[in-house]
Amino acid sequence: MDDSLILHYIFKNLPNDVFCLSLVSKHWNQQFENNDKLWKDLTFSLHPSLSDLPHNYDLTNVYGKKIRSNRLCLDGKNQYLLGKKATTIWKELFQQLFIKDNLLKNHLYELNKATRKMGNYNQVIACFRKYRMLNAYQSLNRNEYLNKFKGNSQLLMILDSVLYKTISSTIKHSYDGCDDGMGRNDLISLQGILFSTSGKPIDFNFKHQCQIQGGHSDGYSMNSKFKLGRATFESQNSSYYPGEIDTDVLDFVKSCRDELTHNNNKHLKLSHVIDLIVSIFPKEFLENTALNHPFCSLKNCKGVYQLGGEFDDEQDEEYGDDEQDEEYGDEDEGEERKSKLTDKRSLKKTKKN
Amino acid sequence: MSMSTVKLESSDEKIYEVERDIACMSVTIKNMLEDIGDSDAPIPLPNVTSTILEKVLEYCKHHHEHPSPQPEDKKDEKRLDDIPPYDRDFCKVDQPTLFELILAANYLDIKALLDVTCKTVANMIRGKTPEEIRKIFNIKNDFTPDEEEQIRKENEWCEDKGN
Repeated sequence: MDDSLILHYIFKNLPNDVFCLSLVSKHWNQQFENNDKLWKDLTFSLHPSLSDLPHNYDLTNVYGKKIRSNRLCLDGKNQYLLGKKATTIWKELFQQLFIKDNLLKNHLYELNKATRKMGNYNQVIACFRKYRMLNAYQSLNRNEYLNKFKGNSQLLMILDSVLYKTISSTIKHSYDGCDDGMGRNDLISLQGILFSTSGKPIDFNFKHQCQIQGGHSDGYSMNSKFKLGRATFESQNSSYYPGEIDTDVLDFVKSCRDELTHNNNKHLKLSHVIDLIVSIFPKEFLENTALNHPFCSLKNCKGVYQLGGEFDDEQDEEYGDDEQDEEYGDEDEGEERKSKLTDKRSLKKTKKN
Repeated sequence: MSMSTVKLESSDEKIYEVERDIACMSVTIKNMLEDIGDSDAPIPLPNVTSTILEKVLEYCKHHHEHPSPQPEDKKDEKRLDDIPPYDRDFCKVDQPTLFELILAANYLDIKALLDVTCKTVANMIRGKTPEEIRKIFNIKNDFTPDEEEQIRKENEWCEDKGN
């Protein structure tokens, strides 16, 4: 009796045991060879949110070379890529998602290993720095974002699909002479791909540089460049304060929403998109807690985030969304919400004045 | 024959008369019934022995009488430990029977039974070393040390270093 079918059904439930399963016997190992269907099922089992992709989604055609050219590199080294590239495209995706999911855990393991060795101070420091750097990315900590976005399968799908090609964060200190004193240069750079709500791969590319000169925070310069698909944002020497809305940043977030939803904005609220970008970008700028990054500051704006995303409704009205009434439910409830919105707008105007 | 019952014939030619609704929990049988229309003839199931068919019918009868609420299609995480008590007890059978049940569930297209039997086997494997898995299923290690090393190296990316 050919038991391949049974093995397929059983294996697809065990995405975290592939290593052991492949070592049981030659026959079991062969089940994984060139078996795109099994790798696809394993991918959906690893990240069930991806099963939201269109029913006849063809990863090979849609992703093409993109997924293979977006293999994770850290500090320019392909340290997680062992041997040749995967033979099937679903295996390639599974492999990269698996590596991403286990990145933090594996680094913690390396850190523990390093601390056990005597006289290994430099390696411990290097391991710790890398761990701390990776730990700043919420999208690398699946348990954390799973908990946060439980019940929102679209956001989960987008976050689950994030693949980083490069993640790099550096801090460089310098001595700029007796007049200028100490200086510091923080650089964050990351690029990769993620899925839109319909499974279209979108490139992202974020760069942020903060330079402090003269030994105090008055002499600083900031450069930020963010790109998500066709949405771009660039700023120089801007400060972002929690509670204040920067319209340029907000416009970028709106463009990101258009990219992620193919202009079908009903699917994602602006607050969701901000959550998403903040999850992809580091939670804090390295050790630099003095300067907020644009999306975190936007996230703290009462209008956008803390009022449960009602700012979105205001935006939708501006866009003249005819279907808004349907979302309000029955008429009375709609009136009540509209009246709350008006109250909040008055509040905002009062604050501005 | 009343139209509320249908006859099913196992591979060893035993005939079972079962309620139509229960039989139709199998998508395969449902489709067959639609194809043949009103007929008294037993539906042949050449891939299912009488022992297994009895077990399958027992499962279907129970779930027909005690319909469990449709599980939410959770998109956050797949769980292996969410098997209901009846299903867990139902799957406490010897390994050959369990594997035959998987095949029957697949042939008869009974998704719930296929899920629960596969999850049961997957639970037996989860977190085990290759050696432990071999022991459970009485499998011989046919890798040479070199081949094993090669596989380890190729699959190093999915090794669970935390354990």
